[in-house]
Amino acid sequence: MFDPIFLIENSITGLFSGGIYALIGLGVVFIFRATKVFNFAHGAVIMIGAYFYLTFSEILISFGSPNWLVFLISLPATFVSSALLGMIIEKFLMRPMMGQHPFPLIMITIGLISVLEGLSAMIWTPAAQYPKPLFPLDIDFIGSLAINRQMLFSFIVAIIIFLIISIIFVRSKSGVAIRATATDQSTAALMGINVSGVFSISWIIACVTGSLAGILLSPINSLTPSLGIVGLSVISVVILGGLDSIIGVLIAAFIIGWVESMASHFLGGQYKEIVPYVIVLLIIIFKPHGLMGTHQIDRL
Amino acid sequence: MLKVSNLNVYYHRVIQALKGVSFEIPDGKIISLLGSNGAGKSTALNAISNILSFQNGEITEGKIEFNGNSTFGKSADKLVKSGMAYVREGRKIFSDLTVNENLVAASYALEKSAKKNDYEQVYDLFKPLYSRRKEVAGYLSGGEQQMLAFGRALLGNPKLLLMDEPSLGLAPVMVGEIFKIISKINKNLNTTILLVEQNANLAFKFSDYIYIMESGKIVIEGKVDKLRKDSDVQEFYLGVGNDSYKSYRDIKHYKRRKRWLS
Ligand SMILES: Nc1ncnc2c1ncn2[C@@H]1O[C@H](COP(=O)(O)OP(=O)(O)O)[C@@H](O)[C@H]1O
Ligand SMILES: [Mg+2]
Repeated sequence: MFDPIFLIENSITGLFSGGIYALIGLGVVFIFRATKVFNFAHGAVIMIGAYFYLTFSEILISFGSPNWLVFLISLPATFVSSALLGMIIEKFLMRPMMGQHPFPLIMITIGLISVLEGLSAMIWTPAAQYPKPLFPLDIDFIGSLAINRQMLFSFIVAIIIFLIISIIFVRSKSGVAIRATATDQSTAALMGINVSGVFSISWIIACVTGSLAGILLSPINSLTPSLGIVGLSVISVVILGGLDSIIGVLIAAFIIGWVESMASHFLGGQYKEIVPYVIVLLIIIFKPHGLMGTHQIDRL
Repeated sequence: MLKVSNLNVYYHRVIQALKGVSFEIPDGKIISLLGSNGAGKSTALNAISNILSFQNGEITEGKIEFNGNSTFGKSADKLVKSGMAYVREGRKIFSDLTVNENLVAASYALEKSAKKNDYEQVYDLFKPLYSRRKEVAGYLSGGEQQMLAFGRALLGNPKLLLMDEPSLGLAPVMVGEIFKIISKINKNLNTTILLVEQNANLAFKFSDYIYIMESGKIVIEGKVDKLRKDSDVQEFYLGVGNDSYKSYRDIKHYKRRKRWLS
């Protein structure tokens, strides 16, 4: 039971999933900051993104394309389709209710989970599928420590994209527009900022980063219409991080990833999914604004 | 410049905040809307700038023309880009952004992208902002926040500037400064100004024409010199009269009498 090598390996696995959680959490935070809507359907968006990738890559493989061509075409195609999905959700489900309390919109995102899961079961069948992994499934050994190369590379990609998006958010003019809109929508509009454009961009960023997370996760976890379940771990990440804080999400993602991994190590895999909720419960009781969240947030 | 005709506005579909309001703002002038709390002054500005939709408010009747074109169906950001700026009540600076980022946000009002020069003009006009440009705007004093709000509005080179109670919560010295700048902008840049005030003395000192509002309606209007001589206005708004127990509500009696006489 207490094997140090095994413990270290599990810790590393936990940190690797933390990287992916951070990428997923980023999407939730972006939408929350801009629109004050907690997108419960983010997991489902990730799942759809993974199916887009599956479809594009299978088509290319069936034409006998070499690996590099499969990636070169199916990755951008997946990102564009996911961006369109985000635009459609924002424009037709969210925007008509702009200016009202976010609660009905949050309910819509919950309804959207069933819609997207149902649609994907119809189109792609509920059977488990394995999209072409971006990275080889090899295991490397550092001494007697086994490192899953696919998870390592996925972690690196997730963190790089997370950092790029965060830097844009903090440094660029568009980042200022998004943050201004997050603080006060009507005043942002009075600065000449296209507020619905900002909403749209936030959904697009969320859906595209989400689809990347789906592409990274699905070869490891297998792809079924319920891949969106990971969205549930990310709820705890985002709440722990403080809902609207990007740094908070990054720290929280590693904490939750590690704690989950430790739980399955010491308590067994069936407890892995429960532990984050116990943590969330404790946060809501003792630190309701999360680690780094803004204090005036109106809680659900 | 701006023409508002017979405007009716509701909040949440039930609360009527404006009841048939009409006024006109000629090019290059300073026009004031005067009235007590809750009269509907801010609502009028929100309607003109098309941000009512953010507050669950709605124009149900009437017309607003900006430079001869109806503003209906134009989003607030488009109106701003076409030369209308609005400094809101309470300044509404982005308190978690830095001073400079507040100006960057405001530079979306410019058609082209902002140049260094555009920011420098604002910092020239409001010197104290320059030394604090990297600080989070929430830490500025009330006067500095008003300067920032003002600077943001000016960055887009507006033709029409809407100002909602710029004197609110400021020290008298600061109020003097702000109003000096208002009249300077009006004279030097030929910017038309619609000023909302509760402070009648300020409104009378700086504007050309005044509309007085009560409970969602315009009750009195006129040139400054003419209104200054009006005994009711003196009594109710300029604090000249001696019947201090009379309230603003009595203006209704004035209106009735005015109708009766005319
Ligand atoms: N967002 C809102 N929702 C509901 N009622 C509002 C809202 N804003 C203003 N009102 C109401 O509309 C009326 C006019 O308010 P306002 O335009 O803010 O007046 P003023 O600026 O002259 O003080 C008031 O009775 C006020 O309570
Ligand atoms: Mg007001």
